[in-house]
Amino acid sequence: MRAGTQVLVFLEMSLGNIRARLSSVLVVIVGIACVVGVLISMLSMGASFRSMATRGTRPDRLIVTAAGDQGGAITRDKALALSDLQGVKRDGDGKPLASGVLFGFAEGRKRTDGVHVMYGVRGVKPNFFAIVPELRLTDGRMFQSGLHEVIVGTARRTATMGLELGDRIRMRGEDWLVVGHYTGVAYIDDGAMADADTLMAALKANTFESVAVLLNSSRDLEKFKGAVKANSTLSVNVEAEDKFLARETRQFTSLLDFISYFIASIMGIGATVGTVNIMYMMVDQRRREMATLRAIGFGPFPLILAVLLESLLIALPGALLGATVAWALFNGHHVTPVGFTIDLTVTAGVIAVGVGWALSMGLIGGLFPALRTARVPIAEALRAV
Amino acid sequence: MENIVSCRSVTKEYKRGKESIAVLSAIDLTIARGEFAAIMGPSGSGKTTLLNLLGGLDRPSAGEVIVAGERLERLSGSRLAEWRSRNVGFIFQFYNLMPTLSAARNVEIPLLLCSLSAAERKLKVAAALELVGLANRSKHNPGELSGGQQQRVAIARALIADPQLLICDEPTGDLDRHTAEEILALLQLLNRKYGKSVLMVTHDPKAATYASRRLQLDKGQLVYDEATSPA
Amino acid sequence: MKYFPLIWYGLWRKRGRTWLALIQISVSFVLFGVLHGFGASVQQMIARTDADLLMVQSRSGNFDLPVAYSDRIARVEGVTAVNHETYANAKYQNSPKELLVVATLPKNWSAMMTTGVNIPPGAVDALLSHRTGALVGVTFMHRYGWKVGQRIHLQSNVVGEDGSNNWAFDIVGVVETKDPAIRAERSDWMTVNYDYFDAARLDRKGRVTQFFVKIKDPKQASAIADSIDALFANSPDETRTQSAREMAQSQFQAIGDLNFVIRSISAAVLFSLLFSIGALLMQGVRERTTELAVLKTVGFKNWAVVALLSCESLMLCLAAAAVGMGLAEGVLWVASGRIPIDARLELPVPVFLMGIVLALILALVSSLLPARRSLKLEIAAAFAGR
Repeated sequence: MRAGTQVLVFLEMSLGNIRARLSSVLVVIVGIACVVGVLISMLSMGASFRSMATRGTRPDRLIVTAAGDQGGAITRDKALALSDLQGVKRDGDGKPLASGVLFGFAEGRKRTDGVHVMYGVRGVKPNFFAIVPELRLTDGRMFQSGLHEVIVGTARRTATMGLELGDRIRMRGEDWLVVGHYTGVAYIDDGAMADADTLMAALKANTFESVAVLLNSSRDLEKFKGAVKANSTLSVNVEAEDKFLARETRQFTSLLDFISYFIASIMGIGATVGTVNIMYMMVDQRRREMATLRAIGFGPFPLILAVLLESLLIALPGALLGATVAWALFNGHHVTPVGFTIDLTVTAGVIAVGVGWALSMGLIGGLFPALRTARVPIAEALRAV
Repeated sequence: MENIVSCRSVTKEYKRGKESIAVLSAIDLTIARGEFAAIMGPSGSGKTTLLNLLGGLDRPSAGEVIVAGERLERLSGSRLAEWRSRNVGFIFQFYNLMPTLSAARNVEIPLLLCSLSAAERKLKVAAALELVGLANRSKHNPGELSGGQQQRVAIARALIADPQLLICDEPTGDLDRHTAEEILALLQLLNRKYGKSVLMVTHDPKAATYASRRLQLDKGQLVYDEATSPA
Repeated sequence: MKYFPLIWYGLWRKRGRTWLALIQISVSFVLFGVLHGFGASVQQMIARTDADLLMVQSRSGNFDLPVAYSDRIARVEGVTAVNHETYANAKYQNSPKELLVVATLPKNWSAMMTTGVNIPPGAVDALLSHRTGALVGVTFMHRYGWKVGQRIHLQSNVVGEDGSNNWAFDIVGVVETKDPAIRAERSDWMTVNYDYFDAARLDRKGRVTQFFVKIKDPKQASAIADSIDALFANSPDETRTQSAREMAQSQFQAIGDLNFVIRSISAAVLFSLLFSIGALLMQGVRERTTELAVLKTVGFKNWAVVALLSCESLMLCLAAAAVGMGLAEGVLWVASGRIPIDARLELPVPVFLMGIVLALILALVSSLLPARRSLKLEIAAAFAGR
C-alpha cells in the first residue's frame, strides 16, 4: 500500500477515536488557545501603536534637525536657505512650503488621575497647514499672529484637563488662550500649536528646533539631500517624516514586541509541554491498534506523519479559538497599557503570526509521541497492558 | 459463631436498558468456619458475582448475606470497607499488585489502615512474607518476580490483617501446573494449620480437590452442594 | 507520613508524564513569578522612596533654575534643609558608556541624600577640601581601573570656560549603592563640587538643575510644594515641585497600568494549566481502575482514595510551583542589573505566598472531576472490566 494511503488509514483510525478522547483534545485546544490569545493581544498592541504613531505621516514630507547630538538649533538664515533648495514644493504664490518649528512646553493634569504631564506647544509658520494639509480644525478658529493664542490637538485635549475653548494655558509665566482644536496627524495631535514668531518672542528664543519641508514628491529626497550636503554651512540631518516617527517609536515598539514574544515563548513552552503529554496519552491508548497495523505491514513513516497531522489538526482550532477570543475582547477597544491610549486593531497579519505559532506548538507537541510510537517494537506494543 | 457465611435467598440482577438479567437466583448457602469451599461452574454461571457478594464488594438485589457475623446488605459503603479490612483477605487471578512498589510495601498496604507504628508494621510484613516463603524477596518489585511468587505476595497481603476469611477468584488461573499446585498447597496450609476459612472460585476440577467442600453453580443457581448431597 | 510511599507511587506511576507535568507547571509559575514580581517590586520601590523629600524643577522648559532660589525655598515653613544638584554627562577616553557627573554642595548632599549610599568616613571632608575633587561610584572604579588619588580626564557635553569639552577631576574617594544586588551596576555616578563646576563652565552660570527639599512632616508635602511654586509663579523661571514619591509614581505610572496586562496573562496561564492537569489526573484515574479497586477492597474508604489522589495532585503542583517561582526570582535578580532602573527586582514574599495559594487551588480544582470519578468506581464492576 502506498505511503499516502497508509497515512490516511492511520488518520482514519485516530479520527474515529477522537470522540472517545474529546476531553483530551479539548485540553490541547484550550492550552494553545490561551497562548495564541495572549500573543495576538500583545502583538496587536505593538502593531496598533506603530500604525497609530505613524498615521498621517508621509515619505515626501521631511523633518530637518540640526546635526550634533545635544539638540542644537537651526537659525532663521539656515531655515531660509533650506527652504530654497531643490525639490521643495512651492505654493500657488511660488513660496516654498517649508516652516521652521520650535517648541514651548506647557503643563496640565491627566484626566485619568490628575497627575501632572508636560506637553509640547509647536510654534509654526502660517504655511505649516499647507505643508501638512492633513491637519484640519475640528472646532473653534485658527490662532492669530501676534496674540497669545493656541490651538490644541484632539488627542491631547482628550487626555488632559483644562484644554477646552476659552481655557488658558501657561507658558513662561504668561497665559495663552485656547481658541480651537485640530486633528489629522497622530504625532502632531498630541500637543498644541501656536504662531512661531509670537512664540519665539515669548520664549526669548531666536532659533528653530527643526524645519518641516514638503517635497514635490518623495523621489526628490535624494536631490534635496544632495543639495544639503553641497552646502557646507548646512550641518543638518534630513529624514522623511514617516521614517522619523518610526525611528522615534522604535525603542518602545521593539520593547513591546520583545516582551510579547518573550511572554508568548514562555507560555508556549508550557503549552507545548502540555500538548506533548496529552499526545503521548492519546497515542498510548491506541498503541495496540497501531501495532497491529504495523504487524500487517504498514510502515513507520506514514505512522509518524499521521500523528503529526493529527496534532496539527488539533492545534488549528486552538489557534482560531485564541484569535477569536482576542479579537472579540480587544478589537476596537481603547487600551492604556503604558500611559497613552492605543486604539487596538487585531490585524490579519497578527492573526497569521498567532496561527503560525500555534501550528509550531502542535507540530513540536506531536513530534515526540509520533517518533516514540514508531520506535516501539511491535511485539511489545501488542502485549496486553 | 459456627457459620462463617450464611446466604438466604440471595439474588443479583443487572439491568441492561429495560431488561433485567438475573445473574444469581435465590441462593441459599451456609459455610462453616474453617471450611475450604470451592465454587465451580461454567463461565457466566455467576460464581464471581457470588464471591463479590460474599466479600462485601457488591450488594445483593434481594436476600440476606451474613458473613463473619455481619448483615452485609445493611452496612453502608464506609462500614463495609471497615468490615472488609478486618475480616476478609482477597486473592485475584491476576494478582493486582502495585507494579512499582516492592513486595514488602505491597504487603504493607492493608496495615496502613490500622494505627500501628512503622516498626510494628515491618514485623508483621516480615512474618507474612516468611509464611508464604518469600522472606528473601521482600525488596523485589513484582516485575522481578515470577507469576507464582507474585501470587504469594498477593496472599501475604491478603493475610496481613489476620482476617477470618480468604476469598480467592481463580487464584491459579494464570499459573502453570506445578506453581498452581504450590499455591493451592499454601492455601490448604492456611486453612488446616491456621484455621482460615477459604472460599475459592475455580473452573479447574483438579484445583477443587484441594478443597474440603465443593459447590457448583449453573446459570445463577446452586445446582450441587457436596455438603447436602449424598456422599 | 505512612501513606507517603503510596502517594509517591501514584505520582510516579508514569514517570515521563509526571516529569512533563512538572515542567509545564514550573514554566507557568516562572512566568507568573516574573510578571507579578516585577509589578510588586516596582510598587515596593515607589513605597520606599522618601515621603519627606521634595524635588523642585523648572516648569518652563529651561531645564534649570537660579541657584539663588535656595534661600527663599529654605525660608518656607516646614522646610528643614535644602540642597541642589546639577548634572552633566561625561565620557572617559573612547568608552561609549556615559558617566553621570553630579555637581552639588557636598555637606548638604551627605546630610540629606545619602540614605542609600555607602560613603567612607572622611570622604566628604576630602571633597570639601579639594576643589577639583570627585567621589566616584564603584561601577566606574572597577570598569576603568581607577585608583583613589588619580587625576582623570573626561569629555563632557558641558563646555568649559576655556572653550573645550575637557574636564579634569581628582578622585578623592569611592562611593557605592548600599543594595548589594545592584551595587555593581548602579553605583554609576560621581559627585563633584558645584562651586568648582559652576566657575569652570562657560554657560548657564549660577543655575542648577534641581533642588532637593527636606520637610519635617510628610503629610504636608502637597501644601509645601504649592507654597514653593507660589514663590516663583509669574517669574521667568517658574518651578514645579513634587514629592520624590510622586515623581517615582509618575515615572512608573505606565507600569501601574500594566497590572491589568499582568493579571490577564496570569489568568490565561493558570486557566490552561487547570485543564492540562485535570486531564492528566483524569487519565490516571481511568488507567488505575483496578488499582483503586484493590485499595477499596482492602478497606480504604471512598474519601481515603479521594484524599490519596488529592495529595498526589498537591505534591505535584506545590513542588513545581515552588521551583518555578525560585527560577523566577533568579530571572528577576539577573534582570535587576541589566535594566536601567534604580531598583532591585525580586519576588517579594506576598507574591510567593499568592503563588502557593494558587498552586493549592490549582491542585484541588483539577482533582475534582477525577476524584468524583473515583467515588463512582464500583469494585465489582472494576474487576469485571466494565
